[in-house]
Amino acid sequence: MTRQNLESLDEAKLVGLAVSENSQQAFSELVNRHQSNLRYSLRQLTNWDEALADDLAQDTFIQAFKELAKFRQDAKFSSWLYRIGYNVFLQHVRKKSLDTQSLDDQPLLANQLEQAPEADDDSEVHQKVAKLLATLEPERRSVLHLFLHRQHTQQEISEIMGIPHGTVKTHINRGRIVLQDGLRQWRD
Amino acid sequence: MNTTDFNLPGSGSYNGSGSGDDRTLDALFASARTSQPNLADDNFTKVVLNSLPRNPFAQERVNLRKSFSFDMIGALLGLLCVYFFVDLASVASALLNVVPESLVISPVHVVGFAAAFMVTAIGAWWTVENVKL
Repeated sequence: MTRQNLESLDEAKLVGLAVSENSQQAFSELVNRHQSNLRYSLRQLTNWDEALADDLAQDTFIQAFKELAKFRQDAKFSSWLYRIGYNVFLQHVRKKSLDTQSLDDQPLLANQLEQAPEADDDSEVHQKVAKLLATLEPERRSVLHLFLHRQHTQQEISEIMGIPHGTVKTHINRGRIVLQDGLRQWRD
Repeated sequence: MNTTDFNLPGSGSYNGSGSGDDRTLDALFASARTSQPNLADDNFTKVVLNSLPRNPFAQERVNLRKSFSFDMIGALLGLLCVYFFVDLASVASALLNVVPESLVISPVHVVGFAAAFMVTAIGAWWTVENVKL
């Protein structure tokens, strides 16, 4: 099957091809479609560590390929992929004990925010958002990213991350307070 | 760009107070969302494809076939045992004797069933909301 043919196929068919015919081309098309969003999300979760985020994204796609047969066709591929990516990120955090960083604990981060009250270009905005998110614990960080950036509903976040709806609500309410404090420090 | 200059976004289903801090936070995320870059592939896909296992589904298929074969053998053995050791006619007549000839459903039965159903539903809801599965 040619590349052009693959580009016209929907994700369910690409997954089907990758599983039934072990088609790496079909999987390659899936990677191509989703690599940018996944890498961006992982950069937001890893305090904009580009190299680390790309490594985690690669692990995510490899894991996804191994588990492709378990993908339910009625689910959204991007959500399924994000969940794997989030689990890969969590495993990394647990391994490296890379946990919550508060603005007080990390003067460098506080300085970065204070010294840069104005974003000159778009990339600075993304890095600032990532640095703000880094003040939250990993699970809350992911919930806030999905809610504020990806604009998923609370129910969708609950399904994507596999956590109760009530927990999502709590993360959003408490996370916003922490992020607002961070922003206030930035403006003051 | 000053943080206070960010445009107001739609922020999912948040029902917060909508204070100035809320708006600034939403505006910052909206700004990041609208300017999210499309990250160039830069051989990323190639690296991923080179790292993929050769045929991850082959082993899975073999395992599935093995598991299915064992299930079928077990089921056949079970059926043979039942056929040779159980008197099916007497089991059937015993089951027929258990079925009542008439059934009376009173309001108490209906209320009892509804109450049991409600308790089960509340229990299931509580479990889903409070226990990480």
